[in-house]
Amino acid sequence: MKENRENELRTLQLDFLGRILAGFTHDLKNHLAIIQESNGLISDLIAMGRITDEALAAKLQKIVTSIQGRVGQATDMANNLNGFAHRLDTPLSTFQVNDLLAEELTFLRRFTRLRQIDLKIELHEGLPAIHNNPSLVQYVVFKLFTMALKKLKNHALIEIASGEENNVVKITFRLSGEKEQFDKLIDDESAAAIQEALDRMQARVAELSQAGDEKQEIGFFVPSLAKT
Amino acid sequence: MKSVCRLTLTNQQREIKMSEIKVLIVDDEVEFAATLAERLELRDIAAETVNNGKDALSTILIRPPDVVILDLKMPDLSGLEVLQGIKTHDPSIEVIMLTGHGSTSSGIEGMERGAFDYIMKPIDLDLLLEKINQAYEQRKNRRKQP
Repeated sequence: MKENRENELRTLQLDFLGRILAGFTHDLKNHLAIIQESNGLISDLIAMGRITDEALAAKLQKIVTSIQGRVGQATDMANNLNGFAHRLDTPLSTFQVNDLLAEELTFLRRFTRLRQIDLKIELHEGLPAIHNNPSLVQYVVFKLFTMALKKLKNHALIEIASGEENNVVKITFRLSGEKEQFDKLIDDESAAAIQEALDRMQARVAELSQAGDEKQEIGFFVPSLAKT
Repeated sequence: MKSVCRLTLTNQQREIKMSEIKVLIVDDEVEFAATLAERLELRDIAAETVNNGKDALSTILIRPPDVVILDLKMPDLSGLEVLQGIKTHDPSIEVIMLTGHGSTSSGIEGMERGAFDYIMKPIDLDLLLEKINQAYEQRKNRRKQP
């Protein structure tokens, strides 16, 4: 009974967090839109020859281009964050696994960069849409990702791929390069959390290679559940 | 005599003839609306701005535009309510919705309710100019019909 209430409260907190994030990203995009238009106006004035000092015009154009690039990157991040926040709107929805991965990995890429670990993503095109819990899929990906970071030494490689086997969508992690000494690919605590999430999604582990393997691999299948 | 404005829009230099088009920008972000209007004016498009839904509906009665660029989220009347008001008054006025959402669902909802198209914020000006042109063509065609 107590556990149910705690779970209910947790769900409400997640819902709250999702709404706050969605609101922030909406506002953020409004600010970016203003920066982009102001920047564009400067660019227009340069293009029209309103800035007569050529050296100054060239310098301004360089700045304008730089701002434009940063606004583009920030917009992509805001879009992904917005999508990420809306994943919490309903427990079950229909989605493309590739969209989930793209949106989540935008943020996770930062952690590999800090550790100088290469992150390679292979998203298989034409995968079927899935009806399941998108937030749980992202949670499992996050757990596997943090596990991989813990196991790998700097300058190693993480490959994350989406694919399909017998019409079921699969997400695979491959770890290459020097690793820390460890007995298990996934520690017991992470394994329990991942298993609980997989159970809720009615998903299953696809493969799990041994710790001694040069290239270690773990994957999981995400089934499409019946719409109720 | 149409005036011609030459501007480098992206990598491609384009020549735009849009001096006939009258656009109304409706957005509660004053700075955004004003700057966008200025950029359209530089391309010879007559652009007017208002910053709320009520002003938008009163403006279309006095100075009917060809195309309305309409923000979806505004504090008084929502973009969808303003869209309905515009279409009730004059169905030939074309509306391009502006949405700040990551998803396209709100834009699609606008199109289902009669909007010509939608565009995400921050906007791609090149794309917006293309849509304005297409919307203007559609308005001309609608007005020709008996």
